[in-house]
Amino acid sequence: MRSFVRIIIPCLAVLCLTIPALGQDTSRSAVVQLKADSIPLQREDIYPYASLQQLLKGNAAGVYVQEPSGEPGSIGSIFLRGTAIPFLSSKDIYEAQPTVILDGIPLIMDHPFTFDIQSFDYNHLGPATNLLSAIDLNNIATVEVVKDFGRAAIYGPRAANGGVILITTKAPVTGRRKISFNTYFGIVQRPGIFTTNAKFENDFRRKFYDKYATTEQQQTYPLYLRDSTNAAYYGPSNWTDLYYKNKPVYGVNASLSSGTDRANFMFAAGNQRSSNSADNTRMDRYNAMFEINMVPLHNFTISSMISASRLERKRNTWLRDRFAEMQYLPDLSNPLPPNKQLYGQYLHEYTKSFDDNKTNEVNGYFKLNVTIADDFHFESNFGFDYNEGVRDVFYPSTLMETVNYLSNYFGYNQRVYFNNTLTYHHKWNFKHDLTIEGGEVFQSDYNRYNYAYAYKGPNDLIRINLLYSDNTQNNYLSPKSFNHALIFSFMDKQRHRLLSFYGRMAYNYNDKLDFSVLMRADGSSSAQPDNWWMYSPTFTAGLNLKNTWLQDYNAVNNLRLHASWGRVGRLLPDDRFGEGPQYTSDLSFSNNPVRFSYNGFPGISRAYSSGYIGYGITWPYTDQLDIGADASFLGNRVNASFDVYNKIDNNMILGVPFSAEYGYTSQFKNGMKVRNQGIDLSVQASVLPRNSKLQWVPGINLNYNRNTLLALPGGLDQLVVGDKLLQVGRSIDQYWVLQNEGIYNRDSDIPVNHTTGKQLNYKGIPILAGDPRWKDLNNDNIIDDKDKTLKGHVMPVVSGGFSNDIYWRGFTLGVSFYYALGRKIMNAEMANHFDFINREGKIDMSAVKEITFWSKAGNYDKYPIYNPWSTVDAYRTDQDLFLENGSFLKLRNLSLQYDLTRAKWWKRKYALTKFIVYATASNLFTITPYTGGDPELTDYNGFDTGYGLPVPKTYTIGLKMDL
Amino acid sequence: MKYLLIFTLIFFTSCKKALDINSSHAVSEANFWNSHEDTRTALIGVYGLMRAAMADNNAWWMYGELRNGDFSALQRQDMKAIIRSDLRAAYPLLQSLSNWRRFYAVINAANMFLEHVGEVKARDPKYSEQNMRVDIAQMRFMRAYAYFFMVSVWGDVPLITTSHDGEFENRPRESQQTVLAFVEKEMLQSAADLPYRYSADDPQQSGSYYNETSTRWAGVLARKLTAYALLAHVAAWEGKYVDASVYGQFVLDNYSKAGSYYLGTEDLTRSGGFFKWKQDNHILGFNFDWGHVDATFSGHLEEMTLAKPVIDKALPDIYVTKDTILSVFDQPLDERFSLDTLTGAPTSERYFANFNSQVPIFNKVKVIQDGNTADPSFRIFSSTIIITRLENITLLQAEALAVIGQQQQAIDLLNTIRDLRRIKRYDQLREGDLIDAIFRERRKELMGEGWRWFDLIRYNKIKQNDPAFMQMIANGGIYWPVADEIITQNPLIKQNPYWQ
Repeated sequence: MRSFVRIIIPCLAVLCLTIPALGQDTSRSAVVQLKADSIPLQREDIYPYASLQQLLKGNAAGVYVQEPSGEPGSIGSIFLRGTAIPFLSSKDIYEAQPTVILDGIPLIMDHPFTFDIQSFDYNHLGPATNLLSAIDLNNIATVEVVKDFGRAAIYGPRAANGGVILITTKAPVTGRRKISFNTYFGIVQRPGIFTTNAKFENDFRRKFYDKYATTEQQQTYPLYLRDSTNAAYYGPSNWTDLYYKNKPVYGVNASLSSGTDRANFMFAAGNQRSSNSADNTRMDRYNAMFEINMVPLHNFTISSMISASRLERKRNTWLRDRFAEMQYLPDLSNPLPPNKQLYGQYLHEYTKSFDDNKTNEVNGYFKLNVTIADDFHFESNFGFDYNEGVRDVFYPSTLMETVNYLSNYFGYNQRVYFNNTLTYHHKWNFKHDLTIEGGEVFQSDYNRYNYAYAYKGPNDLIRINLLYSDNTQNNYLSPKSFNHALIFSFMDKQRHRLLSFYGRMAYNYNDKLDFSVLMRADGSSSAQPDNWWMYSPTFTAGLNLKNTWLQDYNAVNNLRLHASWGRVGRLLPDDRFGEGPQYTSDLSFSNNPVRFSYNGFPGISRAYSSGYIGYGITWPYTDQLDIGADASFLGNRVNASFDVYNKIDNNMILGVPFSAEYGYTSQFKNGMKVRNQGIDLSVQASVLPRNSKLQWVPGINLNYNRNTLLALPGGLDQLVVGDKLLQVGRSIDQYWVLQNEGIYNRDSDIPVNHTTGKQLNYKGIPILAGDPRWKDLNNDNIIDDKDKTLKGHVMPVVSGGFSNDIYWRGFTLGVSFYYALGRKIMNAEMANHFDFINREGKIDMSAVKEITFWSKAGNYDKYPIYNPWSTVDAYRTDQDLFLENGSFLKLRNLSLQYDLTRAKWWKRKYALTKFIVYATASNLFTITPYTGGDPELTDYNGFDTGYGLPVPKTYTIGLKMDL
Repeated sequence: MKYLLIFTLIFFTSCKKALDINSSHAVSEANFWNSHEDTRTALIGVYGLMRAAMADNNAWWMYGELRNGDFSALQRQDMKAIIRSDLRAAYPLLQSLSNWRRFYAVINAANMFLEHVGEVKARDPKYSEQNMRVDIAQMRFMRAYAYFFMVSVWGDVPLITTSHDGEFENRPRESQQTVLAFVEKEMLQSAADLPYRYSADDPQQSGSYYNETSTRWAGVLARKLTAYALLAHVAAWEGKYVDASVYGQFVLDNYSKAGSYYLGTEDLTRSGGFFKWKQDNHILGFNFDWGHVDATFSGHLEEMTLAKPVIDKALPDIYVTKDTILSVFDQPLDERFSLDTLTGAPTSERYFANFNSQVPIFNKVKVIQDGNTADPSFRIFSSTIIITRLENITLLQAEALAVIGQQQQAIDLLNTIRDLRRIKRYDQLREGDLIDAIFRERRKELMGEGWRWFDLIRYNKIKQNDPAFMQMIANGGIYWPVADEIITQNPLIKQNPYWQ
């Protein structure tokens, strides 16, 4: 804590010193004013963002967006003020996401329970579309990130992941009619790729064969590299002509709004296409929204909104994703050839396939507002969010060893809520302002999916699994053409209810001093029955320095200090936790899809693989202390906001591996405690004098976050879960690696223990010449897990963005950057390339070679030539050889717009009130020390597997008008 | 305002109702152990867990067939490491195989069953005394078998005979003598209660078992013969060959009651033959019922051994080299594999296809899809994991009798198998030692069935003429190392000294 104070004081000092230099002018300006953590869309709606995540990127302090792929509509994650959840599986990402609240509707997201039946967890089942892509940003007025529990705690457990994201749609106009129109058209640009062919690969591997291979090992040289006259592999490598293409993007949105102060409405409709230059991927969004407000009686308001979206996605053709969907891998001995003709023939087979991914979302609310007497106010809000995903897949037999494949997924997530709030508000003597509020929230969630897949249909013309439909016959519902033994069907559902009551009291003295208390009780159906309820308080206090002691200082327009401490419960991620010790189907085994039965009978047992859940599981909860200040100086020309926070997640549940002699992989226990502490800072200034024709507004936002594991369940000091080490006192997002110090070139270099005479070994395997030189941290002459150390961070320590807006005579030039510092990346793609020996001759995912195998990123020469046959697994990823600095700075957006209504020749009498033409360019360059691909494209573990589609350079031109 | 109050009151009273939701993918303790349907799913669960343990990473063959066995790996570095007994090699496959958790899941599930079956008896009048007795006997057998298998893989293992539900405590490894004494006692007691067949009006199991026919249960569950057959294996492992011969004799005297019979070579090796689905003749096996959508890609020998032209896969993971084939199958006219004395070509493709290529395909087990097809296109299999069969017990009995000095009876049993495979009867003058001959026969007959490594251990214990192997037996090198995570999770477990 003290270290933060030490940092802040100099920061403030610098700020105060620089401000007077900015001049004393206080005239009016047309410049968009930034409020910290609030993103006004009027500045952002010109960019072709495909999702809310992309909008948030670099635009608000304390928000870190991680997109593992540039594929339009693919899942991206949002983290507010770090994460309290260690990412041990891709399920954990879902658990760490903040709630997005659209006009009071807490949006329901996909539940990760489909992973229970998937052999591979690369993608959620079904369309796996980013549901936050469904929001049309043209209809949005502001997006606000609320991290301070002083405000966020009103949302209860939904704020547990560092707060909530509030989206406010544009309000209908009153007293006139307004039609708005925004459209753009552009292209995504094909990247330049260094392609390789078999000669390159052969030369690369030869070094290893020449140095280490035995005769027997020489003989198993892969077939596709053996014959240098084979033009398919040794010929020109021009697959990129088919894989990467310049593609169009466009968007159009129109809205109509009209009304009086007794009734008004807005209707909006839009369509957007987002594309990626790679692999012909794209997403189309169609949406419509209708919003209405009515005041039928004095003191009685009804407002309602309904919004519908449809997302259609053209997904990638990664072999990995196709095999993961099929849960079956063909023979992998010959990879796709890098040659354009042959690759084209392969792609041609896709024309016989289909992979339809559709997501529909409907949400809406109905609000009643009643003012009872002067001081009492009652609001009732009923709303819902429903989204469904449909994926229909057919792969023809020509794509894979004459076996065709069919799958159908239908899943939906449904949330209904009902809130009632009664507020008493009174002000005495214009000084004492008191608000007392009581509220109730009921929220009911239902997630469900049906999924079926089948192999080996009779031919490629029958692409649906037809069933006999005559229910009088014996064969009713049995399949007509597919073999019933090769049809696999799954269904699962998940229900959750949250019932909350709260009371809140807030007092404000003459806009000088304020404080508030919130008490809440939350009941969750996923908690165990003796533990349904969680009670938690939140306190806030504020002191307006401007209104108290700084009234005479003209340079300070506003300065308010605020502090809050709050607690909210964290919901348990699965309804299984409410059951205590339980029985489930656990008959599956690795390398194989899920099986529920033995001898045709269902078999159930305790949940050995997923972990033991005992009685006495209690609510995890988050405490957050937030101290900060909001300030404006120099006639509101400098706005700054900073917050220091200390967020502690207590009593978190973790699956703790324990004595395997009881058959369980782990036992879920309360007791993990994780702290995230840091600073959020946003500053924006208008640098040039107010009356200047030229205006320059730079702004920066920054988050510094430090994550520390404070405790583990059962008082453990450390815990190994899979490849991860959780150690008390260290961060939960660190890499656990051996330290690589080169290579043992000669047997004589290998250290020998003088007392035992034993040679250095790796877990009992003697280390030989050609093996890596790993640092023996504990000097016991054995390299093992005790010699692994925690290094680096997956999440950035410092992240944020900065922007510059320059205004001149109706022209606006916008430049915005996005940066993340203090993070590391495991260059797994490089490691995999070097580990070729263990990736040939296998039928598993590690042996899959995508078409991008025939390209080169990074410098191969900087790695030592180890013996790839060595049983110590020389090119393993749990060593720091492949760990690189993953900091980056990106030019995210560049735009130029011109408002024609500001032109001299423009006549006021024209119907148009706004007419802006604009041009944008996105993702123009990245500055990074990382030697692999784009440093942004890593998975949740910080591994760059090479599977992310590039974030493409996008150029658009467009126009916006109001009339 | 009044309505609001009423509304709020309704809400408060309905809180309990609103929050009380049962999970739809997990059954709570309160909703289980109530009826005979629960005992059936729990019983099936134990068998299914055992199948999962044996099928996970093809464990049954990894432990029993690969190590120092007849198979060579072509490209798989991890399998090569197992074959040359380099069991600490840092491959995920070996780390996973060193972990015994899945076997203890079988044991825990059986313990849970034994502890809770009384509740079902008390709650469900339809659950008969006899049904319960047979169920208990099966669970005790399955638990004992899991222990026996673990002992043969890891040596000393912790002996846990109750579920310790929710109050788990770390337990150290027990000497394998203690564990095997428990195994033998449990198997003997369950043998007394088990029927020869199910739903077949056996005096110990009358009527239809769980309302299903005898076909449905054929060869699926533990039966009297299963218990005696495994008792013979346990006793032989311990070197108690007198006991082994008694148990073995029981099997040989009673196999026809259980629907077992001696297999012709064609039945053993054709794709729709012995390894297909479930049969009474499977003394102990774990099936993947094609008709009930249980077939899988993994958990079958075929996944590793088959390749072109039998299935669409360029090269097999493991194969038997030509040299090994020729040295093992040295008898003319052997129906399993032999070369035609005139042409020098193989007389059949029963055990090996593509013999004349560099990589012959081990073709003995090949239940592709439903087993009735020669369609090579889809690598899904439904062969049963056969633990033991009548021919195995016959040769084991021959081994036992030979060790305890009943030479002639041993030779008769050996010749029973040789007659089946149409090779010349045993001739001491020509072939030398009887024990050697019996083990040679086991090697041929059981190739690919997961016994080679365990046979090697028994053989060396009998012969004691290979000092290197004797050294391995003495210092625990014949066992697998225990996975690092097991030792981290339970500090009372110590690594096998050989692998430290």
